[in-house]
Amino acid sequence: MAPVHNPLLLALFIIAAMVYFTGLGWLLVGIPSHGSLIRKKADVSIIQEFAVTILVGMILNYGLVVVIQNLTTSLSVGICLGIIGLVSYIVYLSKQIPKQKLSDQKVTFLLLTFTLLVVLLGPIIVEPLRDWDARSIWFLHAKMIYSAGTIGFPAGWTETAITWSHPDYPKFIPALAAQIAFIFGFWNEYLPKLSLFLTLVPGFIFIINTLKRQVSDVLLFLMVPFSFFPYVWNGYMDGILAFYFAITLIFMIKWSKSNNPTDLFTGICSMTFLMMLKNEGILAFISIIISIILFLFFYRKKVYLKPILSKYWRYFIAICILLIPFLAWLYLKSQWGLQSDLEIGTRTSILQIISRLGDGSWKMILKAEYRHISINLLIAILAFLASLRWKIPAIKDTIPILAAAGVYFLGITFIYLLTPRDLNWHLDTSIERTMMMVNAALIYSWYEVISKIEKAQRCDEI
Amino acid sequence: MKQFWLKTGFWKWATILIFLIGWSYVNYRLKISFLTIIAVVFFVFLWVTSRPKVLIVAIPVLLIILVFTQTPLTWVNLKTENQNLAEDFQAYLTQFLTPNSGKEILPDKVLQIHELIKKHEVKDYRFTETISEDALIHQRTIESTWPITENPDSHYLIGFIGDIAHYGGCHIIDQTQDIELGTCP
Repeated sequence: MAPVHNPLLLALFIIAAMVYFTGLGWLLVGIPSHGSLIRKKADVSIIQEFAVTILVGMILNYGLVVVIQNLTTSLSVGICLGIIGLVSYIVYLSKQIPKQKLSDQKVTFLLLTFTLLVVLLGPIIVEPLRDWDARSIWFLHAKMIYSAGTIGFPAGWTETAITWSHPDYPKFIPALAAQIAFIFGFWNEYLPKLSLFLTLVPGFIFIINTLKRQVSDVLLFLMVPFSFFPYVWNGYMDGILAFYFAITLIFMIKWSKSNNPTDLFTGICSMTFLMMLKNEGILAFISIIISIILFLFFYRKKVYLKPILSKYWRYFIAICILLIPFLAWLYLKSQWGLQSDLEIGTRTSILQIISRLGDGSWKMILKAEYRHISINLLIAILAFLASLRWKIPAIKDTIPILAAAGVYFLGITFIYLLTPRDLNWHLDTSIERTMMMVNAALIYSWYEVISKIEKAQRCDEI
Repeated sequence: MKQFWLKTGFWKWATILIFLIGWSYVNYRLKISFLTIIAVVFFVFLWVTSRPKVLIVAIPVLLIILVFTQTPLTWVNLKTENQNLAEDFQAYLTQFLTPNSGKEILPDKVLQIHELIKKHEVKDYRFTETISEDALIHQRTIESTWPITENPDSHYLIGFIGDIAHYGGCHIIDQTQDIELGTCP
């Protein structure tokens, strides 16, 4: 295909991709939320619903690639399903828009989202794929899928030439990048990065839609996702992972206050998405589940599954469908004998842990970890001290967030204890990135406290 | 007595104090005691205000964000990259939408390998030991030449200048400044 160097082509492609994801995602968002694809039955924010629809659409698109494997067939099936979803979504929206007028605040936030996304395109267009993991892992996998036209065995996952490339890693971004190259008909060191941009779109809509006109919101927005750069645009997964980890926590806590099933569904979609980005996403998923269990246990909240399932069974089915891409990749990996190089659970790894606990390496790990979370821990301490001084009850809501951060922190420490690689090298090359998730949780915890102080000040003034 | 401890919130404050002492000790050991000093100064300011004021917390937090986090650098990067893009939009867009563009970021030796592979229409290759041990050249070659890839049974051998002479039966068919391409039986 002869290249067309027209900015309109790029803009049209991005719009078409968003429309495709929206259509595909609506099939799985519309039914659980409203029991219908064309009628609105639940009170849901259109903007939040739009963002979750895009996210679900991206997960479903990945699911089609993993399950069908062939790029042409999966894209054709996706487009057919997407058209059905899109027509339904347009009918649904046409009934809603005359009823729901967007407030000035929402219009401002939409404009802010649009502007920020345009600004974010800058480094994605200008910078080629340069950094180590981006080239040697994620975008090599994308190139393998693109070259073979399939994510299946012919892509070459078992080739000895690429064993250093962690072929077992999740394939969400590689699959999306390969699809982009496939649609354009060529590979280069820039274009596949568009997958990073598309992945960030729902995240930005979520985070900006969450903001209100508060000082605490400005602080949150300065940190999420802007403190995770350049790992959001350089082809590493860690910044995107931390961004969506923060979004998961935001919507889980929002749900604990609002009891709105859409907030819970958004949180769960985002949490599921983590596992498709990077293996650390599985640890993040487990951390959030453990923190929810701890929250329910400590606050003695009784949960009866039967009434929840009978009321929200559609959501439950949707979540099960969303898990298919992750499970399908696990299955394919096991079929091809692809294993993590960390050798978790083997005798060697247990001996490694015992050895590192004995020789004091654990101190080195904890020191390195602490250095990378110390600033957000300091801010959290300042915020907690202020809440204690002014007797503002802020700790309760932050316990699940801190529990998730704690479990994730312990999990990563455990990984460093068992790593078969040289510990110094492993820490030097990854600690900044692995601690981003802990930082994301710490940021959200201090945001919650400062937000409560702000509310207390307003009540005090009234 | 028990009522007194509970009423005064003794245990709560004792736990907080122990945590803060432990935290300060860790900062001291890691030579980052300025974190403790910031917290102490903040607490002194806090003590003189009896009513909640968000700015008392937000201003120090904003300063910490601006001085110690990645955020300001991110905005500088975004500004620079967008400025570059705006100055030469058409060139960047052409680069973005041109097949095989961006290879110039590869190490020079890898580009030389590309040149040899293209010239001799190599379908697969293997490396000499010295290239295999050089992780940068080895990995960058494999990922950038894919789907043309390393095959231990290939007739083509790629090495740094002088490498192929150590492989009996192989002879050099072409070379660039740093790389030589040979064939082996």
